[in-house]
Amino acid sequence: MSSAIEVRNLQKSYTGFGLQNVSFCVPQGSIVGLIGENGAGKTTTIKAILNLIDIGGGEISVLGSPNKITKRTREDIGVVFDDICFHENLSVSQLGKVMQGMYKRWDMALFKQYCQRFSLDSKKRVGDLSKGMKMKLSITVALSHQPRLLILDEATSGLDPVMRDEILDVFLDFIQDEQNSVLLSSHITSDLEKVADYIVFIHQGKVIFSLTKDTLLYQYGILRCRTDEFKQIDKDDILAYQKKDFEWEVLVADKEKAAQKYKKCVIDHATIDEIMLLYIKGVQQCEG
Amino acid sequence: MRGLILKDFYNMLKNIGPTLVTTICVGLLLMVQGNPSLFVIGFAVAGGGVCSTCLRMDETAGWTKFELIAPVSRTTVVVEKYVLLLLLTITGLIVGGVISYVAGTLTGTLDISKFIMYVSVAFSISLISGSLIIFFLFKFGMIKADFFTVLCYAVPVGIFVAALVVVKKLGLNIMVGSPYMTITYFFPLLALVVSLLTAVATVAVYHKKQF
Repeated sequence: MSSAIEVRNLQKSYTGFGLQNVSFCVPQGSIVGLIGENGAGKTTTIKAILNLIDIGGGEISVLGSPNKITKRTREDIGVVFDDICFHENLSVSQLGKVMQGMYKRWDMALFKQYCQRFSLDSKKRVGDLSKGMKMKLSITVALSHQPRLLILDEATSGLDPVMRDEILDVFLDFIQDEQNSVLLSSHITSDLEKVADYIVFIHQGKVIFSLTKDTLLYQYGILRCRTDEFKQIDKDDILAYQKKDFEWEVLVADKEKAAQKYKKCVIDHATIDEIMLLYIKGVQQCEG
Repeated sequence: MRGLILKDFYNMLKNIGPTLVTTICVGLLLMVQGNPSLFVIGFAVAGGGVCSTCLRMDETAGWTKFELIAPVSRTTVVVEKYVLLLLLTITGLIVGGVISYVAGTLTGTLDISKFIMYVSVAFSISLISGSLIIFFLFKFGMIKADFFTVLCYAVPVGIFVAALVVVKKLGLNIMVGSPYMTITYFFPLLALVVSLLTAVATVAVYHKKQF
């Protein structure tokens, strides 16, 4: 199996919004970051992958299981949502026992290990934990049944940088064996710049790009120029552009080539945030 | 299913105090009617009511979303609630039945035939009302289902009251030895059938639900 998740031409319609031919894959052994502004369709895509909603068209394959996820496949998937899904009056240890009764491969020793690593007091009630600790508990539960795939929907939102860094280290450890995979939906792009191998950008229900992180960070660039210089830029070189107060910003796919071709313009490397903003707020150059 | 039942057990333990106090008060209110056997009804119905409380707690906690991504089928999620309802009803019957029997013996008011009838009625009311509440909670969610909750308790009580009125008006004797005691034994069967039918309907509803 080469892909943990394969999504092909996924379609889902709601009133006023819809996923249109969303296609991407999560290669085995990798971390894929799913980015997009609020309401872009990230959560809808994840719900479709997890079979929480019916889809209007397309195909989804998870861990080699085509069409719908089976009960057996769910043993291999750990999911973390942006909000906690556990009863607040349960203690951490009680939650562990409940999970032991639900997952065949539940590893109580591993659960206790993660609780110790994240400083989760086993006697403390879920309701008495801080937001960050609740998220750590969710991640602990997701990891303790030895999954092969982790799916996280905005799991690090609302956490401080120290806590996020700690959690990202856990994800990097998780994929060390090159068999496990992670799909991480987030609008904190700096986290994805640290850990992701691939970035999928969804905007208004469509996949704008699905590329390696290195391509985005080391090949993409932002060309800054005056109006007369902008008019001389070849349209084939423009991915997106935006008029600023005194200059134009142009997103290019190959900054080295653009630097050679447009010597009068300033070329900067682009962060994922800047790439997203140009696509969302700027004008996309249509293909063909 | 083991994990689901354990989760509900932990939740019940947390709320056992208020539930017990309420049940004892209701039981005592029924007892002051002059018949300690009525205590069993309070306990059995309370037992069944705890099941719907567990379901509401699941929805409040957001647990229902987690259940769907866990290796638990939607059928198992529904069946667990009906199994829990049956277990809690039987537990309520046993506890309330023992108290009623002892109280009736001590006060010299114990009437075995009526006691059996009240146990039968208690089992049936708890099972029918609990089964209907579970269906409406799965179908409509907690907020909308509240409207139906009152009806779910009123309907089985109404059926039994109506049956008693009809039996009395027709002059049928429902004491020991009367062939009409079969009515007492018919209602638990009716309750089990209603429970089974609502379970099937609930499974069908839950399989179509999207999140």
